[in-house]
Amino acid sequence: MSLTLTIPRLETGRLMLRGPQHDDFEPLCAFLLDRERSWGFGTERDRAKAWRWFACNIGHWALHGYGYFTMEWAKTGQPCGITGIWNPEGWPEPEIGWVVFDGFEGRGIAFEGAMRARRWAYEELGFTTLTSNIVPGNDRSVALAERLGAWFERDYDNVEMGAEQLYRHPSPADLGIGADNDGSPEAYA
Amino acid sequence: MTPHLADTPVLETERLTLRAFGPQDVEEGVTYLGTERTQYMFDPMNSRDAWNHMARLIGHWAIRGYGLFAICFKGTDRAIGDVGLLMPEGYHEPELGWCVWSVGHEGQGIAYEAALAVRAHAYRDHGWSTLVSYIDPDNTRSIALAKRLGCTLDADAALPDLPDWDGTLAYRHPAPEVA
Repeated sequence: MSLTLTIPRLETGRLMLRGPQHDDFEPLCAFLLDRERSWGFGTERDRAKAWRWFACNIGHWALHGYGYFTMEWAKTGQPCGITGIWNPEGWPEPEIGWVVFDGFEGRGIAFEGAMRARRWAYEELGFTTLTSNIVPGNDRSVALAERLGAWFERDYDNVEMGAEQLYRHPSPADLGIGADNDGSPEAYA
Repeated sequence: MTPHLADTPVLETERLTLRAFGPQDVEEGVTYLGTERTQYMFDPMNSRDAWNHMARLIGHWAIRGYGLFAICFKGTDRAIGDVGLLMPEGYHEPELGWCVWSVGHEGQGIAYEAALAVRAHAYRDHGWSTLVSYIDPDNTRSIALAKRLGCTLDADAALPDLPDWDGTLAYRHPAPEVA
């Protein structure tokens, strides 16, 4: 028996989105323990908790068939952030999230990665809608959500994060993405 | 693309099949984690924490290449307990852990049979030379099982660097040549 997970490799101009690997833990851990950077995502209190999140994400892929990709800066192969679809038990609905690691801000990485992950979710997973949950005051994330075409829909209480604002992304139809009749999704935008 | 993340062996004993945790175990696992059966390890979990816990157990296999097995009676695929090798961040060495999920399956030697098989697997297939089991001092059933497995109290073992572990007992398993 072997544990295999279907995690695609998605390319953008400058990024490779791929499944989590061992070497991703240290940069992810540094992010999760840095309250200043991770407060809007969910700060972990120690390495053990950060490792649990790392393991949970891999299991999330196994249980749902989707999760957070590691974003790799194609030129150097360095992990530069994560983006993907998150929907653990208790979540209002699947959301698209993004995080950029220290030293990689200001390059439009989150936008480029989230655009690619969203297209994958619509084309390959057949999602018809997506959300992003944003902690009030996280202006950078709001700006990015709006740049992605998402709009504020409602306030709600997240089971992990407390008060959050739910942003609604444009649908596949809004973006000109669709699945053809034989059920195999394709883009004709 | 479908990356190959871990070899997950299947172990057979006289009565049991041990296989890695998978998506098929989530429902039973979440139910078990919500009960008092885990009282010596942690408080009962709500379904959200339990789901995350099950996901982590699957992730553990991918990260470490070993992990927790579901215990199933031969010929079935329904988990009635867990047994396996645990090494989350914070541990200093791998632990052999076990739990039978319902009172109805106690007293049949299931955990003993499963733990013996996993210990032999760890020594044979991973080439390990020692194993530890961490047990709450009030967990008399698990202490009795550890002793039956030939374990002795190891006062020098370094406990995991995790909160609320003070007072936990470390039982050292016999080495491969005597196990």
